[in-house]
Amino acid sequence: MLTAYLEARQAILTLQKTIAMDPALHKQLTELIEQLTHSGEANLESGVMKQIKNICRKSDLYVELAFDNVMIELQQDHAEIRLSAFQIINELFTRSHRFRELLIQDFHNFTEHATNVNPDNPLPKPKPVAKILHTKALETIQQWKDKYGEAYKKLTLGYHYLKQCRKVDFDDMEARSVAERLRQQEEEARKEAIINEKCKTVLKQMEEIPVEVQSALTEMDSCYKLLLPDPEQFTFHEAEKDNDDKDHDDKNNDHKDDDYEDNEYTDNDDKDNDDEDNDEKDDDEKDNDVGISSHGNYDRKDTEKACELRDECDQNPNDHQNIPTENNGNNDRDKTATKRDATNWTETEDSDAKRMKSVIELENGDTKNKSDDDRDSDKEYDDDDMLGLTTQTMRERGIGSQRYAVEIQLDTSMLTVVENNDNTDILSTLTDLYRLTKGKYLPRIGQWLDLLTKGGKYETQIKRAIDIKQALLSATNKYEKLDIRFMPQVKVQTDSNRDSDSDSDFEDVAEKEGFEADIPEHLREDYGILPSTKPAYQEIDMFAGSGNLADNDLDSTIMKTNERIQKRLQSGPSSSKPRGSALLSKPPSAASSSQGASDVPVVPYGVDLFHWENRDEIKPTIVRYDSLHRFWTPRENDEQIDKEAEAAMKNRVINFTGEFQPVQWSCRALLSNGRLCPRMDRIKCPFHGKIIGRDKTGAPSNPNDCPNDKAVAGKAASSTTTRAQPSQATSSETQDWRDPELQRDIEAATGINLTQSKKGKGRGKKTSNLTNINKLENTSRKRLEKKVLNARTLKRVSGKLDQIDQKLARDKFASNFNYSM
Amino acid sequence: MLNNLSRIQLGNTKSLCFERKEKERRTRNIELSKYRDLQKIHGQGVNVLDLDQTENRYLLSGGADGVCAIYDTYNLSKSLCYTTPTVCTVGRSNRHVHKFSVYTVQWYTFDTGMFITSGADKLMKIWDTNTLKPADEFEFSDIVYSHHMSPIANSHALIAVGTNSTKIKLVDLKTGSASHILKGHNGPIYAVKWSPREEYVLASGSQDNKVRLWDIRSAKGSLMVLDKNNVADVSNSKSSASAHSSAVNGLCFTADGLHLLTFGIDKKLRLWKTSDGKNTNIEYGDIGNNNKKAVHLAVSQNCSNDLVYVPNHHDIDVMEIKTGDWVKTLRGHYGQVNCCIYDSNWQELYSGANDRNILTWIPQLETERAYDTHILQQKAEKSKKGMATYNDEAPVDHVIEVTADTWSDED
Repeated sequence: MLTAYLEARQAILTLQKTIAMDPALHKQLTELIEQLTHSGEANLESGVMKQIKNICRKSDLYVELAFDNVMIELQQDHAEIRLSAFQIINELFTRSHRFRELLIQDFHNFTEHATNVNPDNPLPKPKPVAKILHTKALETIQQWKDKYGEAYKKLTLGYHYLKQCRKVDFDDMEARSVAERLRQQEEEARKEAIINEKCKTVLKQMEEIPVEVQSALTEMDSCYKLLLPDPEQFTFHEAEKDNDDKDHDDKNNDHKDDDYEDNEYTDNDDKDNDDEDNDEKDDDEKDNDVGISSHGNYDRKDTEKACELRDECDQNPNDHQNIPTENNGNNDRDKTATKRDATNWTETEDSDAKRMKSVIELENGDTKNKSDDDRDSDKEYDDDDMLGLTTQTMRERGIGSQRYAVEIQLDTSMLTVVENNDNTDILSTLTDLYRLTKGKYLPRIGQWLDLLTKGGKYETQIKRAIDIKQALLSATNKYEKLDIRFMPQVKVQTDSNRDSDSDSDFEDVAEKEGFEADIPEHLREDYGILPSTKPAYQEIDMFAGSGNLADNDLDSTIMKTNERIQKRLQSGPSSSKPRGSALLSKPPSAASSSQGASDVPVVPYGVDLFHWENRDEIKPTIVRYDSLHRFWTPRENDEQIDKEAEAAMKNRVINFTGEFQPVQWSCRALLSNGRLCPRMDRIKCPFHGKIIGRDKTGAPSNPNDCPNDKAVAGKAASSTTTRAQPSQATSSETQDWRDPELQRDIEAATGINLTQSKKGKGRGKKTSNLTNINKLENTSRKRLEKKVLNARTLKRVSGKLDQIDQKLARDKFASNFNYSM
Repeated sequence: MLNNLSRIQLGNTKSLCFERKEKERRTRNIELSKYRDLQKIHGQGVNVLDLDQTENRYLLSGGADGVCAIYDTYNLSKSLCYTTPTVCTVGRSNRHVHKFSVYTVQWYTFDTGMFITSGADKLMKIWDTNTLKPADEFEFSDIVYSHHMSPIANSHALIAVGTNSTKIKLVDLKTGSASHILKGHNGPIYAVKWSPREEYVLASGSQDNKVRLWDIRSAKGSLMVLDKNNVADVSNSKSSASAHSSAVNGLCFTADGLHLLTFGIDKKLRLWKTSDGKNTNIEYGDIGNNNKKAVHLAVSQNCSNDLVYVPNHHDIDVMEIKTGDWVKTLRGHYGQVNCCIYDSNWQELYSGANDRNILTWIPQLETERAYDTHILQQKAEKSKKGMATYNDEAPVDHVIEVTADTWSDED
């Protein structure tokens, strides 16, 4: 009875349901939900959502319908659909009790499809959306639990289930799964272990290497000291003055002939100069000379400079005789400035600090050029009795004070050190050390620093490494600032010796062994060099002046050219060409003609030469046995000529050893993206045909080339269209008969959209804004796969491997009867 | 209910009939209890539950982590919001705890001073409840899937043990030794159950798709081999007839012992007459089941239409035994449900699942609803008096608020 009643009630209820549901609304709700979920947008469109809510509000029946539809959408294999469905769920969940009941009944299903908690059932693509969905869903679940947990037991249970069994960390909004977290931790631990391991090795190295580095540094340092003495070590010798004077004449005469050993050296700190100058002041009381002396091979140069200075001092009064000078205590300045060539000096007299400023810029070329002037001034200087130049005369010349401070500012930008016999060893060590530092120590220390900073916990070691790096950097910088001019002739000699082994073209190198940079005057005639010029230096200087060539070790081409220059030089002054042009224009014709008969190719003796005379008689034969047993079968003389062996006897394989000439032009045909084709082919571009002259826009400069080009392009275009979209081609044809106006009229009359009908036929699918998840991802892996696992490649590679195997087998078992095939 | 009461007063119905109808009404309407919880003990899934027969008060649970717990289900707190505490636990720290998963727990038939557990560590332990130490241990050569002690037997104290081997062993508590071996199955035995009607009759379900009824007094072999098609001779113990088309892992006698329910991995539930071993051919529909261990079904007692509670993945299906009609599905678990146990005193159901929860399903109905209205009234009175204290009973307040629809006018 009870059951009968219940059944009747159930029936009435279902009847009510069907009556209560408005079919139009029913349909609308379904459509709205589908529209919303397939929008592909990150956020719900509020208008549509409002409509849904309005419908759901009318009755719980609509809520149930909405729930069913939304759950279906939530199970779609597209993260964007799921995200939208989830958002609808959230909206309805916070509003309808019925919806809450339904969802919580099906809560397990919901968590499976809205979150990533089940590793067996991950969220579908696209990944970024799935990630958003996962995090949002978990956040929302927590909010729901906080708000509705007490009323809906299963919700609380679900929350705890996720938290305890699925190990979802609701505090961690990243909300990663356990497996993911573990993996990440492992990865991090592994990386750290690797870095630690590396750091340990680095620390070990740091124990060992700094000794090396330190020794290299000290070596470099002492090299610098030897090359460029510290100004603090400079001493001023009055005694040297006499020597200076005596040497003076000779020096000026020998100036051009001597080794040019002019070194410019600089001092960074003016302070040292000031100290110097203070010392000088005392000296100046007695005589007005400035003497700077240093050690070793700089003596000469220094004294020379001193002399020059004095020249200027002497000359100066002459130039400025008519300038009134004022000597008094009211701080007036008497400035005399002389500029001669690149030599400036300013004389300043001051009551408090009397300083003489002299800025000397000495360039090699300049000094050379000014040699004449020097000579003139030397004459003047000779006229004046230098020894008698006392304070009295100074005063006569208008230089009132006897106390001068001479400040010499030297150009710090470039220091030139010219290699000579004295310092060649030092320089070579320095260069070696520089290379070692630059090529080995610095990169390694850089690596250390990288690693240690990654390791993070080795501060002291990092500091140490940085210190070492700084020291090395300063050392290398010093080297780079130095303008070291090597003795080219030494290099050339050694190089030519080396070359002579491999290269027989330069047989006359032996003559050059006698070549020296400084040829004594009396021997110059023998070498055919005009005594008045310094050709060797000029040549060398040309190269030295051309920038980095001199800095770096000379590469082989330069060495060759140098050799050639030397040869030319030695071949005498008879060459009428000016020397520079001789250098620049290589004389290929002359070279080839001089080689003459030696150009005839020489081929090593071989089988083909052996058979050269009797080429027709060669008939290597082989006997093929049908059965491999020669005792049981009658011997038949069916000898066959072995073609391969014959060819091997007659022919010779000579590999082509021509020179590669790089292509110097690109195709430059206009591409679809507006750029010009950058392919560099010799004759023909595979895409644009024969390479022709083109202007800036990519159009052929010679119109005669044009049709060919167009034909090719047209063919290419047509081939692509026919391959890719044959429909398009036909559509363009059909367009011709279409009269847009007529069509519009027809459309207006019939009310049918004719343009759409065409479109609808092509694609049955609805256009949606959803991300296409079926699209193949263009990852590097995919591209590589395409290349590597391509059938052709596989075939090729396996063929190669087989070949190698066969070759191996052949090599191994060729002499073994068992394996012969 | 009121109708039925008035009918009793009028003498139209017998009191027994009223009782049965009322019980049925209650059992049909059980739902997940909002206010009752069981203390969380298990760190892994709950495999098995048992209520003591004497009082239906103490709930024994066995988990996949080897832990056993005893709950006192009587709510003496005078509040509906109640978390059932454990009386005692055999936790991981206990020296005698099962090493691996516990598959079966059972109270001693006549009192709660003893209980028996067995599991994947091949051991069956007889525990003294008061000291929580095993009084005796039996070791078997294979995993013990199931054991059962007769709920009615006075003349014997035999425990039937189904293991991963093909033999059923009978352990006699009186002698403390394995007295019998029942041979006949060809696969691991997932379930053994004594009949609640005949003290010597035992049912067993195995992986070889067969369900056998044994009379332990007979030495020849099994009493019956159940045949799903009702064709073969059931008494032929060598017949090839099978009860299911795949392994049988659930067995349950109806309360009167006249029928036997078997549950197989083939997703079928079958009802057999124990008298002649015939299949009643009642169709219960497909019920998800893919456990490789025993599944514990529950049946209601003393209802006019008895119901069976069958675990179906995460849910529990409630069906009428006699017709096979689906009544409802209890949803609340988030993991595979392993066991249900029916409390016939209160018409309540306890269920354990792999999500580590033991849930209480109660005849929701009037009590909790009345409690809700009571709270609501209290609140109304308080607000009338102008001394609304939101802190008192706040959770229940909240419940009523949040269950309401909140359509806002803006939308």
